[in-house]
Amino acid sequence: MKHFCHRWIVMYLLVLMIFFVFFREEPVVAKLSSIAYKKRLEAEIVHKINENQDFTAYELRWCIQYYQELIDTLGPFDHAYANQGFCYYYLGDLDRAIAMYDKAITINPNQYSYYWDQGMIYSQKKEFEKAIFLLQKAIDVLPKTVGMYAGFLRNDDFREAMGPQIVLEDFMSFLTRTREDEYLAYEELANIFLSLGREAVAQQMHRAAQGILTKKEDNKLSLAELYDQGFLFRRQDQRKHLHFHVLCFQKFFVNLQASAKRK
Amino acid sequence: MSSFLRHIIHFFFLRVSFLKFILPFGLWLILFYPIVLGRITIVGDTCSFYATVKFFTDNLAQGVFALWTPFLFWGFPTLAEFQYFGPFNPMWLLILIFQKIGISFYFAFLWTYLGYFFIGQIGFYYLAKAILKDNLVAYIAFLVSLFSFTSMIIFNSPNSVFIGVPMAWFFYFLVRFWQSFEKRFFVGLVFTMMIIVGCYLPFYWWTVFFLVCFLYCVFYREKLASNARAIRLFLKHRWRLVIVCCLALGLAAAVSLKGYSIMRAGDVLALDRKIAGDDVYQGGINVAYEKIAALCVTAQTTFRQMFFRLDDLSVCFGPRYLSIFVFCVLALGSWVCITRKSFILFLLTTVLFFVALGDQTPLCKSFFYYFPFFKMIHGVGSFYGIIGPLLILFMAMQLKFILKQKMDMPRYRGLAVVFFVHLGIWLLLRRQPMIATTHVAILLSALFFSLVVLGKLSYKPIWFLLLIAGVVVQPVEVFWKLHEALEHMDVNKDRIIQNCSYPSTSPMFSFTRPELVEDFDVYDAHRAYIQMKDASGFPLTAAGYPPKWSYDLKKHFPLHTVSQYTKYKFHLYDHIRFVSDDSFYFQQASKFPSLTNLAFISAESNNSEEGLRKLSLSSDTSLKRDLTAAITGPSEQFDILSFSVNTIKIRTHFLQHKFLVYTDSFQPGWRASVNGKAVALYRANLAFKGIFLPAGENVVIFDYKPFGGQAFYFFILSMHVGFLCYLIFLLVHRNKETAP
Repeated sequence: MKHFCHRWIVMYLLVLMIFFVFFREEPVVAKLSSIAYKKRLEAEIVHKINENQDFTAYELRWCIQYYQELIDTLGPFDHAYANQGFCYYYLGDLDRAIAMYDKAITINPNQYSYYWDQGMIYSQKKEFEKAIFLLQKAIDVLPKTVGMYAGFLRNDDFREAMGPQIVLEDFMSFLTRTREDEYLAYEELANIFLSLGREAVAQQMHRAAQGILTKKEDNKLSLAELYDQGFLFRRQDQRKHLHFHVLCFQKFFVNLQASAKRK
Repeated sequence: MSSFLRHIIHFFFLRVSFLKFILPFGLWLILFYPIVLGRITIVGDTCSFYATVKFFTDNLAQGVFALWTPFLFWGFPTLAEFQYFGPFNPMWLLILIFQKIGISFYFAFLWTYLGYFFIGQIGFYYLAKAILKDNLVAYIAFLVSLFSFTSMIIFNSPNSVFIGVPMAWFFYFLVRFWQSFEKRFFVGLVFTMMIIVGCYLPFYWWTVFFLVCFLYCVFYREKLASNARAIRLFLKHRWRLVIVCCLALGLAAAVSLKGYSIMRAGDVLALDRKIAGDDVYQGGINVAYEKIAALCVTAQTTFRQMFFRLDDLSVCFGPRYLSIFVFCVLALGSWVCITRKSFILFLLTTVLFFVALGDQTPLCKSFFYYFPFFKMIHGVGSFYGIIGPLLILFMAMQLKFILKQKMDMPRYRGLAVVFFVHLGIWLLLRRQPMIATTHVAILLSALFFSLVVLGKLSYKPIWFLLLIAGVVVQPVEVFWKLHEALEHMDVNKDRIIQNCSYPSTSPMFSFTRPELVEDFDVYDAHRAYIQMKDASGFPLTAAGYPPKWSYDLKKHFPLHTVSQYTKYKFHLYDHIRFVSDDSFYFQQASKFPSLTNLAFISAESNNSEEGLRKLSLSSDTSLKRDLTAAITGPSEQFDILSFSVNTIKIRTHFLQHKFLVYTDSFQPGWRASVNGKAVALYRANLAFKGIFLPAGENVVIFDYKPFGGQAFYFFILSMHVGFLCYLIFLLVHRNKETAP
């Protein structure tokens, strides 16, 4: 024991002590630098959505980690959780995807797409009761979401930062997307009720869906016309088209366009 | 000659024991086979280097030392850009040799690059051997280094190669020279320093070198007097060699300083990385402290990357992976006694680590304010390329003492220490998902060190294999699992593959440039380099060093106006006007000189040339632009006689005096001559070169000649090659030399 002070253990303990005293907290700037580098994965996901390509497990895993770092650095926020849910869904881990959407809904209960996505996942899991509740909730919350985004439009600072024309174009596109999502939610509800043997309700839901599909507002094209004229891809299986929310792009509403372009 | 060959054979096969390097290199190549065979391409910064190296070597193959790039930013000097990879490094000549034997440029580059990396690893082995004086432990250090993060990231980030290789050899020659004061080590020392000063890394090297010198003076002060005597004796005996070496080093340093001086003078703009967001160009070479500190890796991230999520590492995000064996040895080394040498290594590693942590410690700030060179470091995170090998050396030193002293305690206590240390590591790692070989490596390490403590290692090959298995088994799995990450190293891989597929080419001259597009990124810029064709945009990302005035032009003028004007490389004017302030140009943004028959010349180039006075005009009113004044192609009046990246030779024949504007960036260092007679070169129309053109037949030459032109740079390159040949000669004939 007399040589204890001459052994490396003393030096190691000293260095460890320094670390525990000074470096337990990571500086935010360094974290941001790392995050800024990883945001390219988000761009890759959007690129693949737009190009109708499949994601790889690698990209999805790293994207989950990227959002986790964002949450760790900036605190919890709904878009990051929802995108983690998106990634888990495409990785095939439906339970964790649902858990992530739960977190997103807790933070922001006024975003219809979280209910929509979660409802579609439950529908895929054949948990129809929850699916019906969530899709109905998505339809109910939709006007609130639109109102929330419209609020941004009224904000002068926001319009100036993003560019008024871009904001307006994105918002119009967003409105189209919400119409389509509402239509698809009704269609999914119709399918669910049909498989539950409740044909009358299914018919009602289908009629509601058709109503949205053919509805024309202010001389704009109806959804059916948009589909027919090739302005919108018709999503064959809506359960495979969750929403991806883009956090780091100039275009604020691009999130909902992105997932919609998938066939 | 036959004697020389015999020496070489002897050197490689008997002294170096070639096989002991071939086998691990072979395994490493197998683990990275998708990249080695070209199934996956290099990405990231390595890809950027690929583009510039291709540009450099393609020109070299044409007998041109590229000092200027006319294809990007309407022309910019390459000296600063080339400093990243060191154009005087003789290794790049290997690419030309590979190409001569029919290998495509991509593979010629890749294999040269890999060869250079392997040479660095061998250098690290020799350095470890020189410091530790133990072949076996040095070999283990070499293996750990080869199968660590330093080799994982080379396909994405070449900094660890460009920093690590010359530094390993430099410190090897330094240590050996300090031990023996032999000529060959001195020559090696000078040669590696020449490589280092010609590269981007002098600042990293200088930091380490300064710390090493400081620590040596503190801990070995009793030896300083005898060292000084030995140096004096060496200088006395080898004064001719020392003078030649100093001259060579001075020349290499002067060329390097020229590259930095271009940036320092503000003639070109260096990239200023934002902490989060897009990169932008800003003047000057110095970097703000906040930015240097921000490009660091935090302590937590480092530890997380070292131990956890080994099945999911990404080469893009700078993994700090080291074999688990290293940590087993370091933990067991807790019971080893502190020695002076190991303490210096430990201190050096710790100090550099604290610096690399950026703003988390006061060290980085102190270095920044007290060492002027530190202001030019673009991110302290790159110090990890040095910290890794230092930590490995420290581990090797601990291993040496463990093997030698057998833990220096009674057997039963030694066994208990081995058991609990490994159990502790295993329990610590169990908190996260572990890859299978982590268990195996810990087990092998525990077995090996138990045998060491028990003194049961009588049959050398068996325990040697056990030791190697303990070192290599985990990295093999980690590297293998990295294949998926390699596949997705870059989101723009399709464009990179396309860029890597272009064959070698020669510079292409065209009278017109493609129309500028806004959406022009770094990959497009690489293509301009690789194809040696005019770019169709002005990238605002890391793609070179745009000249100050060209950047102003791009920034202040509407893209369409600039695009229209720069579409043609030559414009002729009948009238000129001197402009005293550049802000004048910005006020004229809407009616740029493409619309009038009047060229503007900046006042700093005010000249009393007689011809100019004839063209001078006080007002630009009622000047209608003659559309034919832009040269759209060869004609009897205007033709290109020859073109290379540094020079353009033109024949003109006009009936009247003209002012010729060449829409290639103006930069100090350019010379112009008419009929063999030097003429004044003006900065015209904000960013470009202009000359007065007399009437009649003329042969005009625009030539970029910083430091006397390319002949001087060829001389520097041949000097490097000469030094390398001399060094190899001295190393091969080492037995014949005696120390003074």
